[in-house]
Amino acid sequence: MTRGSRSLVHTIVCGSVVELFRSAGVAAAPVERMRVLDSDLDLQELASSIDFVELGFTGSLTITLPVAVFGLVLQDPGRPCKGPDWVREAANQLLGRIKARLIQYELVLKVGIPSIPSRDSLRRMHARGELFALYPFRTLRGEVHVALGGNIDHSALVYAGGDPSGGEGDIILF
Amino acid sequence: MEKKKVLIVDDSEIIRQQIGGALERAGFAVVEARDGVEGLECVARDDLCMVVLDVNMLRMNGLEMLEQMKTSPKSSRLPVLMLTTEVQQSLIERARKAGARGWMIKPVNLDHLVSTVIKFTGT
Repeated sequence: MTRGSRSLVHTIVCGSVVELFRSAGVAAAPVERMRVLDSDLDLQELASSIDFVELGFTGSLTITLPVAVFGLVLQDPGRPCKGPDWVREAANQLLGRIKARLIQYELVLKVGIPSIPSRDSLRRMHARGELFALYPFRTLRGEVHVALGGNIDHSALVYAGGDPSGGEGDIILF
Repeated sequence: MEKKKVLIVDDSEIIRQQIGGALERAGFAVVEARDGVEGLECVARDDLCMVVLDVNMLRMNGLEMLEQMKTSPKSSRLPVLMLTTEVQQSLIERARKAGARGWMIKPVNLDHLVSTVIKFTGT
């Protein structure tokens, strides 16, 4: 992968994660690590995975975090949600944000339904050489990890301009 | 006076909770469904004033449910607001052609959603 396209993916993913957690009331900062640590390959207490497909490549996004970080999430006191439900929706919204940003590069991801990954899924992905990138983010109560896997074709990232039809929180009325 | 009833169709429990809570605080009654199949059952059974409908669901997605709703006299005139992370113009256009009244992009701005529901239901 070229440094330019790695940097672009890094920017898109990190920006999306930071915004997602900010919308949930949690400050998350990207951690610069030169290599994947062995401990990074262990899924934390809460995890969700979601597959995606584009012409020519398939991939998955996995988000994992400790329960303590979920404790920082802003909640409706009248209707609190459970950690597994929250992380499932977080994976969905994170990939949605990434997908919206990729439209400018004429990449239209077809996104699956979030699922609970097996405990060793990241290790197996890494062993097969399919772990594209793992991004750690620091919060007040631990790290969030976001992993991208699959045979992602980063050469397809060619800027074509154009904006997605709307932004997060927008309502388009017909 | 009986409360106006809104159906929320989304496979995410947290979304159903967030939206349901906001609508209940605004004075609506809420019915929930986890996918398009359950959603159509609620539409046939309940006296609804509006539907808030997710797009990506496992068992019958939101666009399929919307298109089916429009074939029934009971549900064809119900206002439907799509709720999704999708921003693709082709999907938005498909929803518009199928008769949806709007397309809301997650994460949900609950104030905007409630005011839109109030506007569409004439509350």
